[in-house]
Amino acid sequence: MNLLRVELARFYARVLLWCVAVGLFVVSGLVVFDAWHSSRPPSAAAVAEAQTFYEQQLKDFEENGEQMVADCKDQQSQDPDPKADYGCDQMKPKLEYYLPYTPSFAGEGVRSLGNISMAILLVAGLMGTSFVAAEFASGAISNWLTFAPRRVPVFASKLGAAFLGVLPAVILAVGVTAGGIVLAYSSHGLLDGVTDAAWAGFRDTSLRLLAVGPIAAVAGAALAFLLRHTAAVLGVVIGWAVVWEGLLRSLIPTLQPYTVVLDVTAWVQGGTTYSVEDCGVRAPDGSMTCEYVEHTLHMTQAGLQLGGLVVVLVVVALLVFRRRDVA
Amino acid sequence: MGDEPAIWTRGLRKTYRSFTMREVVAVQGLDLRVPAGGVHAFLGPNGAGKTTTIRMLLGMVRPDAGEIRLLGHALPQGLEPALRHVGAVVEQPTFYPHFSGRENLMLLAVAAGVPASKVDAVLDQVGLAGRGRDRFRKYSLGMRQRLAIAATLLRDPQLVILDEPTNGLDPAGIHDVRELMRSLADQGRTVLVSSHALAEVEQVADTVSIVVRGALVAEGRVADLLGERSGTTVRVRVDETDDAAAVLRRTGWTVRDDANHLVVDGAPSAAEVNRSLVASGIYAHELSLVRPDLEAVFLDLTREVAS
Repeated sequence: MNLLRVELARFYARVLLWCVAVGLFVVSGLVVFDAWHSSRPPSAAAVAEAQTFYEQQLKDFEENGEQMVADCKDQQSQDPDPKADYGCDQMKPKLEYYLPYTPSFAGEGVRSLGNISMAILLVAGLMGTSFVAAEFASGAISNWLTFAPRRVPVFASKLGAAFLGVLPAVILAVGVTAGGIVLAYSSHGLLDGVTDAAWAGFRDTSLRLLAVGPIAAVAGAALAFLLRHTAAVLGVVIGWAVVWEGLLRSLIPTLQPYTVVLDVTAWVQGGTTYSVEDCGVRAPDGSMTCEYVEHTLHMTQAGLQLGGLVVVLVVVALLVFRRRDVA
Repeated sequence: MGDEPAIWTRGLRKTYRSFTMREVVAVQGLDLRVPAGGVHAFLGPNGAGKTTTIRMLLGMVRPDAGEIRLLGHALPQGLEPALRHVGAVVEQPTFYPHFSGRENLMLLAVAAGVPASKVDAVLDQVGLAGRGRDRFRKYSLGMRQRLAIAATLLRDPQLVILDEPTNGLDPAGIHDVRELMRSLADQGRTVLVSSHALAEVEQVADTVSIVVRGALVAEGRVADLLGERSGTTVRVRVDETDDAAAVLRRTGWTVRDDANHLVVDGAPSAAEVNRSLVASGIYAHELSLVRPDLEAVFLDLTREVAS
């Protein structure tokens, strides 16, 4: 515990980490502003414009609707897919089709909370990395090891400090974001009728977001033990993002559930979907058709994959640190 | 501890791989014996493997081969109990720049389970009591050295290892460190000091080990080492330099010019040199016996190995 106490004292004394935390709060503010902006009710002018447009379209439908529906059904019947539905029975204009969209708290409110997940991932990861890498880069680790020569406790205390150290910043950032989103929706009167299930979803998303920060900090610290320089860790992370998260994901779409970005999204949102293009011969005329098939990535699978990745990183970092010469 | 040396190594070897994957031997088969108590100088030219050896003693670097016993504990198994009684400064002392010197020591004290009162005592001992609350990053090189030495003293060590402890110190600081090393040794502790300041080391060291290219080339008591290498050298100033040199060379001694002086090696005594010159009608203005020092011994040994 003594080592952990010392490491936490060092963690909180790092000015750079406080600056990074401030950056996280700025992102929180932006997410809240976006939630407030997008949940604003339509203005009177927008409603009047929509009403005018709706009336024009209704008039047009009353004049030509019969023919439009017939044309629609004709096209539908020519589609090689017998299950094709062109929505011909819903062609009659309704006012809500033309009014600006007002997001719901249960849908967009919860989703906008998840918008801060990548910021938390990056900021907490950077805090963990910088905390450990600075000691290697400065050579302070040599001095420290003469006082605390057992490397496993030293490793554990530094990872423990990274885990606990980022918690206040992450709790504050998630708290500010969640509170801000609730206030934004409340100020626009959009919380009436929000179900208990929606509130539970919002709460669970907040809690899962809280877990992202400390885990990312541990992963960052483990990477720093392996690579010993913040710049090297950033290089590896950028390389990973470009090659794995970008290039390979595009070339081999079935790899999507194994990308960090999608896994974090699925973890935070309680599951997510991704599409994979599926081409094949389905039409009676033998021509090839392609369609996007939607797959679900479950929260549990995403969580296990992320947890597994972090465990592997930590184990490899520990094995390397135990054996590696410290100069 | 009886006759158990403070540090004992046998066949210690460490190699590194360069960027081109070439094997670089830092330490090769080093047999080191540092007796318990007193100041032991650990000397060698740059790249001789001194710092690598010290790092291996402290468990920072893993030897490729060989054995180490530190304060009676076999490493690496006994590293932790051994280091509880060791204070060490390796190369440039590095602490946390955003903490004051005192805070840095407090962190070390907490980790080592040392009472906080000890921090102020060691700061006072190294002359940093008035600057302890300044941030480490504002410290001069000399103050950093002092803080590092203070850190070594936190745990009342039986063995103090100082790697170039006088780097960056002013003459007063060098004097203080010398006094500190002597006083630690007088308290029954062992001080291993690696240094390039041979004149400083000579004044304070009881025993010495000299390493060249990772291997031991000489060891023993400083006085014995100087005695072994002390063929008489006489420095002479005469008007007739060429004639005098010819006379002295005829007797079989080695003579070389050195800034209007002749330096004569191999003569049995200064009196014999004078007698030979007078017998040839040459009278010396000045004649002095050159006392061998650790630097001369060190240079001789390193030249021998190099050649």
